[in-house]
Amino acid sequence: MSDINPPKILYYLVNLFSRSEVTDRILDDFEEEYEQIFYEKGKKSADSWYRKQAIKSIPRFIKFSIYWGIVMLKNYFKLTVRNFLRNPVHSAINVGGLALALAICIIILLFVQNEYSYDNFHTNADRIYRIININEKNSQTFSGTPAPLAPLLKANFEQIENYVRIGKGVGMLKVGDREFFEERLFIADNSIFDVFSFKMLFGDSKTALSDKNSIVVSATMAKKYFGDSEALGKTLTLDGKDQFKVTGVFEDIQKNSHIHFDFLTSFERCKNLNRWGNWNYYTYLLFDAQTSPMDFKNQMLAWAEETGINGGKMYNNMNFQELKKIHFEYDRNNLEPSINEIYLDVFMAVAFVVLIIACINFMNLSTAKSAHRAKEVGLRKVSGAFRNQIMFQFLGESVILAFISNLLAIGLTLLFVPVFNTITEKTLTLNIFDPKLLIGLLILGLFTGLVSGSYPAFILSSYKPTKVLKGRFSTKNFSSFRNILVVFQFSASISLIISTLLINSQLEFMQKKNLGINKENVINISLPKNDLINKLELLKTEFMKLNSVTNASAHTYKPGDATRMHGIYWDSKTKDDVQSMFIHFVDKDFISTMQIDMLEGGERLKEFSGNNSEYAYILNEAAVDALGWESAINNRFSAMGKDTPGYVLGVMKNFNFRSLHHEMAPLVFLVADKWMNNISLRISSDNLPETINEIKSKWDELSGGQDFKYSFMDEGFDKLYKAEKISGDIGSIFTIFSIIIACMGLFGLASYTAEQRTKEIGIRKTLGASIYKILGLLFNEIFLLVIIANVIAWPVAYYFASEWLTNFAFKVEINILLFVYSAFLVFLFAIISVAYRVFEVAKANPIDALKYE
Amino acid sequence: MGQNSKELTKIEEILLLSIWRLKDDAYGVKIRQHVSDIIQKDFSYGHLYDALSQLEKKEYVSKKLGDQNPNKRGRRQKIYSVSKLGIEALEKAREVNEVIWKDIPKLGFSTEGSNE
Repeated sequence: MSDINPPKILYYLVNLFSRSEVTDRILDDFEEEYEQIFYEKGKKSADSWYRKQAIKSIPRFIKFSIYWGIVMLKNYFKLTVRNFLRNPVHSAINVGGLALALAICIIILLFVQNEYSYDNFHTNADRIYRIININEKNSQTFSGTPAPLAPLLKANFEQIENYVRIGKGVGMLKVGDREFFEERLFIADNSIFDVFSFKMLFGDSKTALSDKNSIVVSATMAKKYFGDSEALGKTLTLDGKDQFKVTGVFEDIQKNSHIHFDFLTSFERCKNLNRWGNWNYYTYLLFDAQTSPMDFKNQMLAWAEETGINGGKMYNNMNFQELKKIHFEYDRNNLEPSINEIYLDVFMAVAFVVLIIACINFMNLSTAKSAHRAKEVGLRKVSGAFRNQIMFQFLGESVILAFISNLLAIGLTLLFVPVFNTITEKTLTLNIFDPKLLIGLLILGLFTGLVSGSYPAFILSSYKPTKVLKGRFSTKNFSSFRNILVVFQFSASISLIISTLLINSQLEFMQKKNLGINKENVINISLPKNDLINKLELLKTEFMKLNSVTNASAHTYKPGDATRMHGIYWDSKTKDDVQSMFIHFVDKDFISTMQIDMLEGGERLKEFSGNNSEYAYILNEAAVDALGWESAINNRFSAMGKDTPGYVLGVMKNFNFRSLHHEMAPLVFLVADKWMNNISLRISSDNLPETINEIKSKWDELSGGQDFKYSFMDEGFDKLYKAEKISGDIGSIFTIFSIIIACMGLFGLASYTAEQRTKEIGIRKTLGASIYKILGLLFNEIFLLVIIANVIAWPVAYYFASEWLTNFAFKVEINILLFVYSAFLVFLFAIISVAYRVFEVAKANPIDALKYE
Repeated sequence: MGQNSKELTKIEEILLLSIWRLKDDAYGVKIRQHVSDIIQKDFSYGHLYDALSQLEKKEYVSKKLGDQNPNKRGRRQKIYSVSKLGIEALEKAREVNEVIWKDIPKLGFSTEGSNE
């Protein structure tokens, strides 16, 4: 008998396709018949019969399994719905909380994905590098370069396949009788369309910018100026004098690009094409496939030494920045705000934490509910249910609920994305058919469902039914685990609250800090580049005639705007001593209009009269320090090499002209009447709109009706902190949600606990405890949990907060009150969540409680 | 589950009657061989258990553990028997059969296999 060995095939097949109860029977039947045939007709016949029969049976087995699988599913659904309806509040909290957390995660992931996608649409993205200069003293970068640098490098190095230089610019463009002030009218080499993948819709990208009188426009701008008619070949007039022919229309630059422009003209127009002292331009290099920036730098340095090229030290400080990293690395010359990669990591971490909290909630509540149903389980087992069935039922239920959460989450995400877009000024979209999304949700749903269902599934289904029925099934086992989970949730929430409060307080600090310059109540008007510029004194006088205008001044850059660095020259300068400083071009009234404090030389400003052969400079303290001067007044100085020789007229006190991320940097004012782009008016008025109207009328009068473009100086400063503000907003949202989710969890738990202890409470009441005493008892437990949560959360929050604050040169002190406040807030929320349920139970009639089973 | 208003399928009818005939012998192997004989086609195990589960669902059959010696794996057979509901269903089927076959002469074809 022992050598009867049917082929194994059926064993596997049957196990695969049929349900466990039936499997045994089938195998037994097969074996019995196999034996029969074996003895009647021999092994060969038996084996062959066995195989045939097995294969023949497969289709039916499959149908059988599927059919019963569906029946079970229907059953699960029915049971799930029934259980759901039994405790609609709890279930809703459960499912809702998870859905909310999932939605948040999805949004964050979309956001992070979007940030990482910056500049990835360029085919050559991996080979494009931007030249940046590193300040050896504070390792900050500056991305401006002189115009002749790129051609020089290309001429001497084969590894550079191509280069593109881009220069910022503004201007007045006119078509027909319509004229507009354009802020993104840049100059660029024609190679821009070769190196980058900006798409040219009309026109030839190879030649579009080769002519000095060509201009290419974006699709939106084409529409703005030429409506629906073709733009190619038409003419635009720049600043009232030069004519440009439209040689191309390019696709609007997508949002996830570090640079945006509306118009491009040929770089050949650059006024500083051959000047080494002027570092206004961005240079991008396209390396060939084999060259790495490190290699190139070494080769470049070697070359610089060999050839003894001018400004040798400059090459030392030069570095090559990966195109895709530009978006993440702060550079004071950057056109657009960058985002520190740390923020992205933090957001992901927060999303993860929120998700974990929600999953824990889900698990918590599922477990709590199932312990409640221990009786049901006991009964079913007694009446013959297999352990598997019970297990599957619990698992099935939680998986179904988890998937419902998923669906809900998608719905919530679709709802929230527009709001999020408004806050972050992006255009994120959720592609519901994205396979990554669907797979991710599937995995998550399964994971959450299985994990949260497994606890009760395995534990409960293994308990002996009699034990369960008799009620000796204790929930104590669960409660310590649950408490740990609650503590974790609250620590996370507390940390989030503290961090958010801190970010917000830093933001407030930055906005309110005394910068040393009075940015309030100053209106800034952009000057068009036409003969209005020669009438500056007239303009200023006329404006001051208005009652509400107290000061007027002309200058080049808006404060808080990107400023530029130039090659500085001073009397005792040696060849290797290259200094770069921030320069503003201002008129003599600037200091008084902006209410900047002068350290010395202030009086001389009043007597200053513009004399174009010599320039007057005002340096700030940091500049004087950088130059190592003991006294500064009357020292020879020049901002732009040989072009602007002059003397130092005065020294001003340091003031924050840049965002508070940065330490105080050297700043130079060149006092002149040239190069002015803006007029600033200090106003003092009670009726702001009226004042603005007055000013506008005056402007119209004086300028002959030109574009009145104005802005407020303090808004300009606020823009510096846009990234932080957005982060702060996002942080607040997360915090609110995480608290909601944590409280949901607590509410559910509290309800359950209160219910479980109804009997205990009933007994206590009969023994004479007052409601308050009972309440006190329950609250005490919560109090303890929250305290523990705080103990954990405070150090964590402190660590992260101080890390974040190192981003700022000027920062707030970490205020211990914030911590206390957060703790209190969380405690309050905890109490509220629990109070309702607990109060209900405590008030209940003790007799009912005792009867409660 | 209660009254099932659907009629017995032919194979269910055959199956129930076989179970009834086999009495204490009505377990997997025997049932399958018996039915295969009747319909003169090999009745697979897959089909058998599928149909049996349907009948169980409708509560036309019930199972009990047989008294036979346990097999090699230590399990006893599961013996099927027709339930009261099953008997009722069978009677109904018989009625229908008698009605539709009443007074039909021999049609001259040899009846082969079952209508399945």
